[in-house]
Amino acid sequence: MTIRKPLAVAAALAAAASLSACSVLGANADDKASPSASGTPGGTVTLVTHDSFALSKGVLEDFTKQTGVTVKVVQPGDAGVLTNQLVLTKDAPIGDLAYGIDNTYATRGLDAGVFQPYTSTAAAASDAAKHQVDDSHRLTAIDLGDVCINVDHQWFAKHQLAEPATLDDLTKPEYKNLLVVPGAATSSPGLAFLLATIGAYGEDGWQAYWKKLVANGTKVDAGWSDAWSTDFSGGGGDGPRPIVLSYASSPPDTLPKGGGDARVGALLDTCFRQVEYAGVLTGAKNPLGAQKLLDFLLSDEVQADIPGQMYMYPVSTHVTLPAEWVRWAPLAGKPFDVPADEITAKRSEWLSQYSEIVG
Amino acid sequence: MTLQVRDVAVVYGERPSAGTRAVDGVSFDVPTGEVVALLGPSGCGKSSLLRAVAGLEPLAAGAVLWDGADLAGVPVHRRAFGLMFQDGQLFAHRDVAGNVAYGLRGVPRAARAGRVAELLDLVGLAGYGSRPVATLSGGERQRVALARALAPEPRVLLLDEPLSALDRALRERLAVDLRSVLVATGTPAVFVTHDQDEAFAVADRVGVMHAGRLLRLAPPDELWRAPGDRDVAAFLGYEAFVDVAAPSAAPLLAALGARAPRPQDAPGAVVALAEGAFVVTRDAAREDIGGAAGLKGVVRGVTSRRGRSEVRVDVDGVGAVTALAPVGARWEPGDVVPLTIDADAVTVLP
Amino acid sequence: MTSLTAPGPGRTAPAVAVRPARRRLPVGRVLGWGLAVAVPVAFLAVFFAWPVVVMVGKGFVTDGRLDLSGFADVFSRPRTWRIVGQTLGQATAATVLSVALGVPGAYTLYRRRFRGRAAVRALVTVPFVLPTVVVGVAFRSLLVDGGPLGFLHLDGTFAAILAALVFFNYAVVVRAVGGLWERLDPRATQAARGLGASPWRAFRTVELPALAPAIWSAASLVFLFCATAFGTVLILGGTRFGTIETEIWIQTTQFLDLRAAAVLSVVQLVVVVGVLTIAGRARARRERALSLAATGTAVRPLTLRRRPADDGHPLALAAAGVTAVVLLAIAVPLVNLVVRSLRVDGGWGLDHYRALGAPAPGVPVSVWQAAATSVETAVDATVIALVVGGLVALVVSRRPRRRAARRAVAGFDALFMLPLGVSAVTVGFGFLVTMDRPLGLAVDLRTSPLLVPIAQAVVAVPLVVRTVLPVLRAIDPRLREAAGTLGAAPGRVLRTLDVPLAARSVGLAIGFAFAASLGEFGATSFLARPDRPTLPVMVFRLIGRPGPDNYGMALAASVVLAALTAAIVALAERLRAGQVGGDW
Repeated sequence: MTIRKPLAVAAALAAAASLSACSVLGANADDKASPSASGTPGGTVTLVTHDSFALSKGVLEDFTKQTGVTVKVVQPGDAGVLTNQLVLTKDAPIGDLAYGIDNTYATRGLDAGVFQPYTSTAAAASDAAKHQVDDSHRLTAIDLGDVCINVDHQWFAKHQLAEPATLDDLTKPEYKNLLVVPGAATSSPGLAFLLATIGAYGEDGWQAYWKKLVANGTKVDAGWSDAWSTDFSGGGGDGPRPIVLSYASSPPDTLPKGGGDARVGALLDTCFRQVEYAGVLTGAKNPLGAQKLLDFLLSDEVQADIPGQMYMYPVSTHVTLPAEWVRWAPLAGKPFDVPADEITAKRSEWLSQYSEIVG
Repeated sequence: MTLQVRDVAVVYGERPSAGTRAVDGVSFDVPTGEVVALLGPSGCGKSSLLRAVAGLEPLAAGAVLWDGADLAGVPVHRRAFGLMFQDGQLFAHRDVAGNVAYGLRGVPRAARAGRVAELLDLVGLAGYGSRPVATLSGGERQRVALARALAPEPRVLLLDEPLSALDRALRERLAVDLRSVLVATGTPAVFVTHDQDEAFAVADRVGVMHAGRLLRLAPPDELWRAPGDRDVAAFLGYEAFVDVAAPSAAPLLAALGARAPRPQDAPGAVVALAEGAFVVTRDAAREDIGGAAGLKGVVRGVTSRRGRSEVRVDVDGVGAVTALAPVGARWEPGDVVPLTIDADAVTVLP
Repeated sequence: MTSLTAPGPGRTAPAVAVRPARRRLPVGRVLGWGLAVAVPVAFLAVFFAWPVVVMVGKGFVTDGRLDLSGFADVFSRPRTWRIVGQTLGQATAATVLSVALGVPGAYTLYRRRFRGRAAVRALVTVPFVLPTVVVGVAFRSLLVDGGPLGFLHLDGTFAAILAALVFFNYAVVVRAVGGLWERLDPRATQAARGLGASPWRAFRTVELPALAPAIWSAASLVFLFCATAFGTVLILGGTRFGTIETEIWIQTTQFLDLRAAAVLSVVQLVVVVGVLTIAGRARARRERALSLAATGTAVRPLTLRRRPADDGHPLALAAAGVTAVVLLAIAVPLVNLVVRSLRVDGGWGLDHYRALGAPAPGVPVSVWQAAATSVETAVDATVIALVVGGLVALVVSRRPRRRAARRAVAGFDALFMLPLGVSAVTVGFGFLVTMDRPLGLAVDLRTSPLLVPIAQAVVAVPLVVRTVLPVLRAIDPRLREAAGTLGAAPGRVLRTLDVPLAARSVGLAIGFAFAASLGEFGATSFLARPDRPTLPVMVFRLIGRPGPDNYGMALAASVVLAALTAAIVALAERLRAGQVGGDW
């Protein structure tokens, strides 16, 4: 009675184990979609978006109620990761609709042929058209926001120092060692700020400005959350620096719980406008569902939900903004601008120059 | 039913031609009921030979056969050759009974329990079945290892220095026990050891190995009386060698009497002396003992073994040898003592 | 009795029919081992090699032609050389420091006994599995100007990165070396002392060489972890410091410069393989049979006062002192994390912990649900890692007679270490470009919940191998031979000896595979589905959202993750039940 096949046990064990692995997953995999249903209305639509995407509970369920289409969300990373993954998976897209590509990455996606044309007929479509990248109708603007320098009013009041107001002010000696920004190569607001300075000082002037910033003790962090939460004095982390790169929509988050003025304010003369787009993916399995979802993103329900959930301004001019936004988070009147195709063409060059200066 | 070992060679190293030949052309048979001891200094290849017989080392040449059937290609576990290691190699995660029962696969539970009990009884460990092996003493462990090896009724039992790790008294007692167990079960056995007392106590025949070769294989008394050559004799404990033609050989040959060849008949033969070939006599006047008149030695040192003195003496024409001395005698180095000869500790090598 | 004298050497054998020795091919055994090799290799090939090769290949193929100009281009950038230099410098310094601090730690935590030792052992393991974002916050909020340790002016310095890398990897050294040390027979050292060696000399000349294989093994692991460190370096070093890994990340996710990323991936691979080879050689040269004592016999109580029987007391005290300092250094960021998680609106409270029960803003699940997802995913990853890693350890533990086969086994071992040394970004992106139709099957694995545990298992397999392998290697081969002579076929030997003996280290392996997959962030972040985020992904999302409440919740969730890890490691320690530890 000897076993002729050694390791038969090990093999059996392996089989049993992999089965159990499946069962653990199987018990929890809530794939609401059946694969056969996709491609027909009433199936599933996969939304590929960045990791800041959020909507209030029930909003996506409302979409399902209205259209019968279930939404599956995939969030591979920030806007850069999102765009690059879409480009890489162009031939076998990971979803049907992409949302969250901003104007700094839009042309990369368009050039790679990631999106197919679709002209929305939603209520806010005419508002969205004001922000279009080109006239190919492949990307539809959904929301926008300004990346601006923010200052901690409380800190400046306490230190009896006048607040800066412009980009030039940031290089003045009285603000030495007070500014912290996220890096342009590692974060999307960081890149936006670099573009703001390029918009302000021109393609040949921004390098000198950044050298002055660095000489004035500007700290460059990896990401927005490091800058805001750790180094900035007004972001809840009690850091040492009272000037930070953030968003025009950041001040309402610093409203004291008991009421009163926001601790932080945005400098509206230092801003770069980010517009976030949605587009139906080329080769989408459920293009119809994707179109419906895009329309839904322009609906009043979603547009009104965007400020509270994603800290961006809706493109729609119909919806009511939250009261504290009206009071504390106005958009910049004249943000700096760099054309999208120029960004795509020169990004690498700019970033390597930038890395040399700040590195 | 015979184990046959034919011209077996074991080579370590990558290529058989270039490697170290640990075992070199060894042949012998072990018939049913016989215990063969392989005796030799460490590194002589005896363990390698045993492992080759068990199927644990590949043969570079030769064959291991069971009743004429070549065992090449028969894996270890199908040979039904039991193997017992110096350090027992008990399975620490099983208790005593679990160890003994390991080889009893396929035996019904009740029969298995009976067999385990029977074997534990045989090795003198009745009732130890549920003990964890970690709680056993060295001797008990070896007894369990023996019981474990015997349990599946192996065709041959191979024992690799099974007693070497034990202290002397225990070793001597266990050697006797081992012999009686092997005889009781009728298991043919190959027993590897470096201790000639152990080999002589356990085996029906003793083989002496040196540098990978089997020099001589014979029953203990025959081996002792006729070691065959000087290497074997030296390993058996013969410590001095004297040419038969030398003047100092004359009293030794005289003591051997009829067993002694005439020097002219055996040119090149030597007389070999084991420890105790000389005995120190108390009474210098009794020169008749051994007929070695005037035989004397110079004391170099004295040790005591179980109450009896062993005297290291220098004998003219022989060299330094160990002589036995009566109880209670006292000598200082440099003393000259009278000696007699014990013929049983003297032999002639051709 | 057939013959009384043996046929002498040179004489011909007696008349017995000797058939030529021909070995039957043991079909079952070949099949079994074939399977044991094939299953892990297939796993590694599909879920690691293929994605990485495809991803790297994309950088070297332009318009269907092989284009290696990327090498010349990337190597002509001074930045590349600076990055390679920084990677090597950083990893080497952190490895040396981890070993230097870890060896006294191993002595104190494994060779000495004291109250609360289990808790301390669990504590040192917590950093190993904390997500880098959390460690970044914990460290930076301490070191930033005006922070509790701001006076050290370490923020954004090389020293801060080193400190964080050591913080992460201290446990690796302590566990690897401690596991062996606690079983090392103390008599060799005692013999050296008897020969007149001072305690220090006895340690240096007897104990240290005996520990060398474990030290090399740990050092190579630490080096791999440090060389591929990503979040730590980015967050603590800002943009001033970079490693090959951060550079691959930037080139892939931000610039989409696949050519540069591919070149850097190859450079990373060369560095990793080089280091593995050197460490493997060094380990093999020092690996020898060790005299091991049963666990516990070599372990003595730790006392501050000298006791007569306690040889080498000053040395033990010094080790304990170093360990205490390191423990403090490890505890400070952790305590800082806890303290900050309790800060509410300038006051103190448990509000952030209470908030963990409700769906977090921006994510449809609560932190507790994410924790449950993490545990479920980790269970799956652990099972996969255990099966694959167990088979690898089994194969690698064999010592074939043929040198070529021994080399193959060593190569097999090194192969499964590679996932630790290859960029998570490359693997994660590689999944996306390959898993749409894995092996031509019509299943899109990319958005399947199955891919997350698989990705985590790829990283956990080397840890399982490193834990189980030393135990299998420590089994005396004669034990297997004894079983064989008792009639046990190789399969039964495996089942009745190797498996039960290795099972004792499986508790530890489970603990580590589990902890590693709980903390895995790199690959998971690319793959995790937003409706089922794991805890580290959740922390990352929360910390990326403005508002003090989100920040506080992120910290509270981190504390939960740390506590979960500590509990699991402590449990695994118990499972070990006084048995042989692993490599780490």
